[in-house]
Amino acid sequence: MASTLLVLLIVSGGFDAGARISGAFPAGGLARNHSQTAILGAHVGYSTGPMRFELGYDYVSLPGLLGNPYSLTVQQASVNSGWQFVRQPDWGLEAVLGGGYGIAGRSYSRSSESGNVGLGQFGLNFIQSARKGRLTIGMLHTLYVEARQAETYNIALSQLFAVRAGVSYVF
Amino acid sequence: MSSSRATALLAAAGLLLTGCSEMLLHRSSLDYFPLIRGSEWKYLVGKDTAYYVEVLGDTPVGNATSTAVAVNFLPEFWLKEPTSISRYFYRDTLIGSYPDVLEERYGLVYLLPFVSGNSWQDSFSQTLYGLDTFDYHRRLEARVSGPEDVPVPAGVFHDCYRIEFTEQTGGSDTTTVFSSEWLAPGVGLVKKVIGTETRELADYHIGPLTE
Repeated sequence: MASTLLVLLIVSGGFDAGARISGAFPAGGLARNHSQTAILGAHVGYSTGPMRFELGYDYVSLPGLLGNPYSLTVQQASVNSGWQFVRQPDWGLEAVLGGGYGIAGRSYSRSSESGNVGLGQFGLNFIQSARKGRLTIGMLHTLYVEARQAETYNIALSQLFAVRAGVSYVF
Repeated sequence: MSSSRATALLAAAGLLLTGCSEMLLHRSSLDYFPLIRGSEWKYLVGKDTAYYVEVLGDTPVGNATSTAVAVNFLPEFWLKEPTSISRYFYRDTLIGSYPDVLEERYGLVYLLPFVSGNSWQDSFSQTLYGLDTFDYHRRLEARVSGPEDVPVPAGVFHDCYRIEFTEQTGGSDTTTVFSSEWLAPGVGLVKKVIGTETRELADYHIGPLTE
């Protein structure tokens, strides 16, 4: 029964799945100790009209400066909603907004620290659609949000700017 | 689901998820040893003794441009690089009746960025020949722990890393000094324990005072 429903959803809806790669540039304070990196990720999406919803996973590994054995990693899952504000038959422009959760780690040689982080994302994509393919090229700004309850409630923001390209297979 | 409802749901989920975090990225972003000209720190030892530290500015020393820092009006020279902070060490002695330089170089003090559990060493040795042979050595070992909250007279500082130093210096006899420093992001040294003496930050400002 469940498998029949799944098949029906896939056939009737606009599901897609794919992979993505980004060139990421730490901004603000993160640039103090980190250099740029590549981010690898995967996603599944569902499109209906101009809207698209996406579940994604990305692995961010920011290396230290000057080749020192330090790195900052974030394994992050995100939920994004996209609105295609320019829609042409085979291309479009999409604004993206979303949020998610990440597990972060810092390491220097054999020493390490770990923690968790919330994140918000917004960006702009150029989309090209073919019969069964969907190509996305865009910019994505990720805002990592950390909070602590001390004498006062403190919120800290860190930023990562990425240029991202992705391909999806449309079912 | 409308896009506004979806966005509101995402924002709420984000706030819930960030309810308590370890501030890991925050610590990765901050400067634990600000050497900005005009900065001043005042440390108290007990109730009566004070240490004053002031960043004077850049000056060429040795083969590099370092930052001059006055510690109780005596100059120290620090070289801050993206992955390390070194201090200019100059030590001399009398060999017979002639002065001779034991050590003149930038020695590693902090390896950046701080990560709990990380450790490093810096070693230097030299043999001076005269009427007598003089062996000099200095070895600094450091280990990071934390982060922790540090209450001092200037306030409570969060996300502080504790650096424990063991410094061995000597020739035929070796002197070992143990010390601990607590460094706060954006502030620098907030507490230091060396032997039985404890220095705690009482007042500070980063950068020059504005009128």
